[in-house]
Amino acid sequence: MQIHTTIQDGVSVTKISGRMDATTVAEFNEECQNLLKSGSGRIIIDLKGLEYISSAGLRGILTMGKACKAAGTTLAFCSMQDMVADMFKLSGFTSILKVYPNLDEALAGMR
Amino acid sequence: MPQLHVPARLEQLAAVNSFLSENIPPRFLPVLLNLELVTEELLVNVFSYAYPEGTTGNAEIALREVFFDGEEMLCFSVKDWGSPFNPFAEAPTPDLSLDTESRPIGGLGIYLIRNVTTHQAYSREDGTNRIDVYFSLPEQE
Repeated sequence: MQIHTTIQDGVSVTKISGRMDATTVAEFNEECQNLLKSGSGRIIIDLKGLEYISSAGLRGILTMGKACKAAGTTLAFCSMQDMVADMFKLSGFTSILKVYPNLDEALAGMR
Repeated sequence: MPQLHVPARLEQLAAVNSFLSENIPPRFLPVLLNLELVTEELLVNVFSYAYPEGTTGNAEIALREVFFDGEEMLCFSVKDWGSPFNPFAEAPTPDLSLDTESRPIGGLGIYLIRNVTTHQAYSREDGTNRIDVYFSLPEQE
């Protein structure tokens, strides 16, 4: 799994690619903690390059969702591939997390 | 029948995924990611719960094409030699209506398996746990 964070229009944009599974989710959790520690008030997780997510990855996503709620941080996800979108939908995450079809719309939604 | 015997350790996931990509019948390729998902969920269960802490047992996985009630399906099996455990009997359906704060972390693995497979079976025989899950042939585009 690769993780790369940039700042765009004052929003932290974290691009994740590869696979988020039981062996890699710890890297995502670590990046999330860094993002929250850095005081980013608005975070977009761009999943365009993520081809696979398991329940271990979904645990990481929900943990991040809870931490952002508690910290008053705005969090959004965008650009999901089919498999990842299916898992978000099955898990009911699309109704509790902000999800956008692409990065431009996510950035617009953050304004 | 393609079969793989591995030590029940998380580090084996990559080897297991290679086995799946190499042995999945081409007609079932559209379900490969879901097959990988099911495999990870089931193996993580075995790795975490089947054997006493500090010991490493084994797991065996296998793929075969079957005819089930007149339908072509892909059957994926996982076998372990650990304590009796039927994951399908003990997994409650998660409450998807809860908001972010109230949603419990975890408890999605078996639920996801039920949703991406057509049939699931558990049996205990000769000191082994055996799980068979069946994938329907993906619809042709």
